[in-house]
Amino acid sequence: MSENKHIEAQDQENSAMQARGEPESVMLPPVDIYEDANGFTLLADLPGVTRERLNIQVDGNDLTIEGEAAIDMPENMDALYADVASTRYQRRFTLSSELATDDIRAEMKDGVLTLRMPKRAELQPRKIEVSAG
Amino acid sequence: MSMIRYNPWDIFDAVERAFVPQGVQNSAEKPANWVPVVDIREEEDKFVISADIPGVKPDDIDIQTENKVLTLKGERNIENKEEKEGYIRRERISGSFERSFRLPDVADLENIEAKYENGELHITVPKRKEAAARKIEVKH
Repeated sequence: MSENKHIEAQDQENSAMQARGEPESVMLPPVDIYEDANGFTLLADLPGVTRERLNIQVDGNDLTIEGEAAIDMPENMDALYADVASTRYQRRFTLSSELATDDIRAEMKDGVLTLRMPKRAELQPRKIEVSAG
Repeated sequence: MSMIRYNPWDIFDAVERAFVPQGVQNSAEKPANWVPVVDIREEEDKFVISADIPGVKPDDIDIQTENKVLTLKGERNIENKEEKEGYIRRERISGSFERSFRLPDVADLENIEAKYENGELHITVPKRKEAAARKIEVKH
């Protein structure tokens, strides 16, 4: 289930940073990915990230999701108890060339990002009409 | 802005200890599937608990106080029958969540407010007026 040639998560770099305890490390948002006949849908949990603070980039076959959670922390105030170590999210994926990267659509709602990635038109199922002879 | 990790051994942590999560309390009920992560900050007149609960309708979040223990719980159902078949990666958590906090004595239990925004739940616990910081004059 974790291995998929269409959308491959590139998490190594980030895990390595976290293992070294680097303060600048970012959080990997959890994602769900599912496939249907026409393409793929990716859902990512990015609580606290608004549309303005979300950055989705496609460079060739590389998909990068970046977001920053807005914390309206007043000056000179310290968090008493912080489970969330960082407020920056980032995750990279490698997409297969079967996906129509120009047609990726994104929607952000209640801290959940939905990315719709259609397969290339020539790879989508087509119904072929049988003409009456 | 600086964030401080909770340190149970800090001698100045009277208030922090008051906020130590209570965990799932009702053993009679089905235990929660997951525990939302929270930040808690103190301001002059209030405490603000911020919990990450993305993709949940505000109506599905239940916040209660009982004996100075604040409990937030609810259900996050992200399963969708049509989508079920083609999953190739499933990391997002689903199901019931619960988390409890023992509130400090200064908490004004009557005026707690909650707001859901961008997948984050912000619970504001005001401090009682008589408990707010006051400057005491030193006479001489």
